[in-house]
Amino acid sequence: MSLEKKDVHSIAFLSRLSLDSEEEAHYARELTVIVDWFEKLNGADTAGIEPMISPVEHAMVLREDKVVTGDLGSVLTACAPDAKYGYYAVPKVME
Amino acid sequence: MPSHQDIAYLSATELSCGLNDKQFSSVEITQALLTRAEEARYSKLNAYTALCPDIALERARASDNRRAKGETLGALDGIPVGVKDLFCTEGARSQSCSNILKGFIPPYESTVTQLWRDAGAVMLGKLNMDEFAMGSANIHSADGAALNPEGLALTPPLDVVPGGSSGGSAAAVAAGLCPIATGSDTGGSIRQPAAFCGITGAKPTYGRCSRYGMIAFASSLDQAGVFALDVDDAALSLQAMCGHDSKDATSSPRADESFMHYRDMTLKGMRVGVPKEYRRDDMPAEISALWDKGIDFLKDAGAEIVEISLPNTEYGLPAYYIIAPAEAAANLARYDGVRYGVRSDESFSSLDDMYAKTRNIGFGKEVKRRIMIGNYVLSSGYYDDYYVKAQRVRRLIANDFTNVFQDVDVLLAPATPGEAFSFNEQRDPMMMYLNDIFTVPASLAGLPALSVPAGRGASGMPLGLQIIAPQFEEAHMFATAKAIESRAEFRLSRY
Repeated sequence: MSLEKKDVHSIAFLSRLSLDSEEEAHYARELTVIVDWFEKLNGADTAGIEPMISPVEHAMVLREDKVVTGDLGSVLTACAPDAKYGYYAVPKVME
Repeated sequence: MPSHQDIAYLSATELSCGLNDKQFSSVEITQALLTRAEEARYSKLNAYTALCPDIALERARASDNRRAKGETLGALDGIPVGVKDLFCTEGARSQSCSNILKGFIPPYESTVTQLWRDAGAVMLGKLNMDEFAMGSANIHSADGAALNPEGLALTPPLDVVPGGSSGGSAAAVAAGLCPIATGSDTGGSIRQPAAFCGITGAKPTYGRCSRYGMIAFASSLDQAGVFALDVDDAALSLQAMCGHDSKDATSSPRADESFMHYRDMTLKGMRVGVPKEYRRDDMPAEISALWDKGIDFLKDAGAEIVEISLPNTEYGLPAYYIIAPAEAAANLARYDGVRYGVRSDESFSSLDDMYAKTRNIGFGKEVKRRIMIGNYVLSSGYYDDYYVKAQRVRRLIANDFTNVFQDVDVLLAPATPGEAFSFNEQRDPMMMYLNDIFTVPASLAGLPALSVPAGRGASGMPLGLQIIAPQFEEAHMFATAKAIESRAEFRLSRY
């Protein structure tokens, strides 16, 4: 299955990556080879086989709904590229 | 005061004896190994991305004080160690060797490194790796490639890859820069570099080691593990990082079980399976010969060798390269320039634009490739045919192992399809993925597996053998590895 530049453009948008035209062509070629290789799985007989999400079979673990870590706001916002007034600062979202 | 040449290549166990016998102090061996890491001969390996002398010497001093008061914590107390860059280490850079996390200094510690810290281990620094653990050669690092010390020890010296993604960890231990190091293994990222560099590398059962504080690649596959100079060190250092953690929802209730009784096990009567599907037509003669040698070693130890079949082996690698990128696409969606790491300094037309421009400059090519593969296989119209199909194949592969483990105790197989390759050899992405062919199935099934050095290839580079055990049977795995290690008598070049 051959991926075109426009397919890469769509996937790049889903991935929140913006590629230039040359990059789209380059990845179209690379991803085509890889995706073609995935067709190999068609040879596996998976009728009636449940998907395996994880090697762990135990059920979701719950804990008491209790605050244990305390107020970490300033510690966490200190890691951010931009923070103000105890919030993460980002470009304007709404007009 | 020992020089670094005196103590490099002493195992953690030997260093512990030396500390107890007062041959040297933790501060002295820590300083010696920091000095070694900074010498041009070793710094050119680019094994460390950052040395942490202040943290190291403070912890070494604390260890010496404990020892002086007779309050030694155990075998790891005072032992210098290296930590792969994807483990969050409080106060020390943790970037998963990606530009997108440049400058990130975590305000918290991963559970695995905290356990080693609680045992008294002395962190020397953070180790190089492929960006976000995606790679098999440590050539995709934002901090530059790492080199294999065994290649530099050849005559003439060769620039050879250390393997990946934990290339820096493997190179550091193989160059005597630290006796043990943490690594992580998602599809072979401990076992393959261990084999390439001539050291022991072990990955536990999925769920033994907490993933809390590990910068995630693929959540159903990632596991912390260790590199060491010998099997005994690998076992004790791995045991020290295992344990149930309520902060990791995938942490197993069996994570606290000890496997140190491997020391009392005999191989007499142990049934060792040899998977026939791994004996590929394109297998180099030297890999086949090494495998046969390993079979002979285990027969000599009293084991019974049984040919077994893992019929769905050929589907493992494509299934992995659907599942792992899909999970990575989800895990790496958080890198958006908002909460940590870098933000592009261009101007933005929107929030989405900020995300895209940040991710463009922050991620390398291999990471972008895998994120896109992941989003493709998860996208509408393709989800069932690729992602769900791969998950069903995953269960077939896991069932294959469950079936054979009714009959045998462990499996013996090659770790890699060949020796470590030259740094300059051009390899396209698909060729690189084929490096993982023997390691990926055990990862998909969540099984414990290790690589133990067993010989050398035609160009003189190390080769390793892989042992795979049932879930929670690390004891069988280490006992088998000991039997190979003692008979193979592999020696590092000691660069």
